[in-house]
Amino acid sequence: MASAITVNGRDLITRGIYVSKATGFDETPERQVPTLTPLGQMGVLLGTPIAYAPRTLGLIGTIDPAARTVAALDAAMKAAKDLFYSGVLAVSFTNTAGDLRRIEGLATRFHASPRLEKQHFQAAQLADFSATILCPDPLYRDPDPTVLAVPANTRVALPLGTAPCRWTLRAMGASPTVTYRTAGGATVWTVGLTRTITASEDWFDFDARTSRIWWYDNGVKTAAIEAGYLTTGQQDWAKPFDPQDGDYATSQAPSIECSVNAEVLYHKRWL
Amino acid sequence: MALSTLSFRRGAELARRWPLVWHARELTIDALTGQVGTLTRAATAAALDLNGTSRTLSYHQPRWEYVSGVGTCLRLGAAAGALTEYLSWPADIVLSSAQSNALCGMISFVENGTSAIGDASGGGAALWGMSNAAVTTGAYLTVHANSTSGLYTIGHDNDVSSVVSVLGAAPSSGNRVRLRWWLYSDGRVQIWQSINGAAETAASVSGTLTMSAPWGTATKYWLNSLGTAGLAYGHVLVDGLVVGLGNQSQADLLEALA
Repeated sequence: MASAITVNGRDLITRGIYVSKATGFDETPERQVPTLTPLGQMGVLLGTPIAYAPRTLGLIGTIDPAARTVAALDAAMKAAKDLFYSGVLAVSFTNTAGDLRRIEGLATRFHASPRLEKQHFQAAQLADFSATILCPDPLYRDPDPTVLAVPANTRVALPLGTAPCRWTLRAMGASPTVTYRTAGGATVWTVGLTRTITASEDWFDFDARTSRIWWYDNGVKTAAIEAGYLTTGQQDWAKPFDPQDGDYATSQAPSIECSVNAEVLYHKRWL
Repeated sequence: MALSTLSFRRGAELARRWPLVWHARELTIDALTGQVGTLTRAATAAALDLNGTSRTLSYHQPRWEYVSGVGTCLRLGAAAGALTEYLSWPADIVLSSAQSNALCGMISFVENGTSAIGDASGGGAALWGMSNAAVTTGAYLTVHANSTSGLYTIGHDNDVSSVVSVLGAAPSSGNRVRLRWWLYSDGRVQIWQSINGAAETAASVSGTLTMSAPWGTATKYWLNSLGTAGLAYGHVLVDGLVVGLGNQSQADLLEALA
């Protein structure tokens, strides 16, 4: 379970927010699989794409400001409310293995109530709180990105987490061809362009987040590459890097190769 | 709500609290606070990847580099100001009466050596700045290495005269450095330095200086520069930058960088 939790970079404990129960952190997101039942036959066929249901994080605990005064509790409760409702939240936590994980979400509920252990709630110095955070994208990410050089015509292994991740490849040369392979060397997809750019000054962005290929002219994002320039391989190249193209448990990773010097950028993702 | 794994914007929602927050680990030169960044380097340059493999990058292409124990940084410049490379964002800020004219900020980076930072040939190497592009007219703020001592300095110039606050010691090459600075509402400036996570050491606060006219719409934030042709360019690996209104505490600035 999470041993330390920060919200938007703010350590909860230093804010007097103590989490005694956290839910949703260690659950895998529910898979939603399209299915097809062949007419007149027994059994079911599994379809694609498989979707992941949102993750819902729950935090329950106590607001206990360093100064145990009524005014301090009032300020801490207001600060906590403001913190949790400050738009999209970046929730980070360290698990018991010491791994730092991050997930983005939106607080859908925050509730705090002074403890009625005194004769009147306005005299309370502690409060109970609960918060619910909806994470439409249920996968965690490594806060620190992975940036790898991809020398021309060299297969580079792609260490991944336990979940698929989107990526960007920057190819620094004319007419690049990019190939993604499984750990066993089988080609999953390949894509190639026939387009001239100015050597050393320009580059192509293969952006699998948006399924687009962009030409950067002297640092300026200039034009999307039109389909006519795609002369090799498939146009459905924009798939995530998938740990199932290797084997996470035994550290066997898929690979990427480019015909010109390139770099690949991604954040590892985790279930 | 689009949540991508790269270039994720907590964006305008978090951003409203700070004028500028930029983290290298987001792998974009655009700030988390929404400003579009511009990287200037009219040359190819090299950087190391996660495995220590060098790669040569095209003109104006960000040099993301992994530094063990620190994380992902943006490499800027080269030794002794040999490479013109800087990052800039628009700084269209309006100061509120509640905050007076005070500003503050923090820069987190890896020192590449005082010989590289302290450019003895000219006016010192700029690490961070806030000015118009020309610098020769108009007010500016700058965090830079002193031209002879290499000591980090915060300077405030109101277009007539200037004041500085200078630290007492310079970090060594490879140190992780966090510089915090304040511009007080009466024009004084002060700088603090933390090396490798140790407690901050403070420089003496400067004298007062009449504040100039408000920062104009042409004002920009500069990283590794001051204007387009101001101080010499440094050589740093920067992992985060924040600028705030008012004089915020070290803890609050660190949280914005976290």
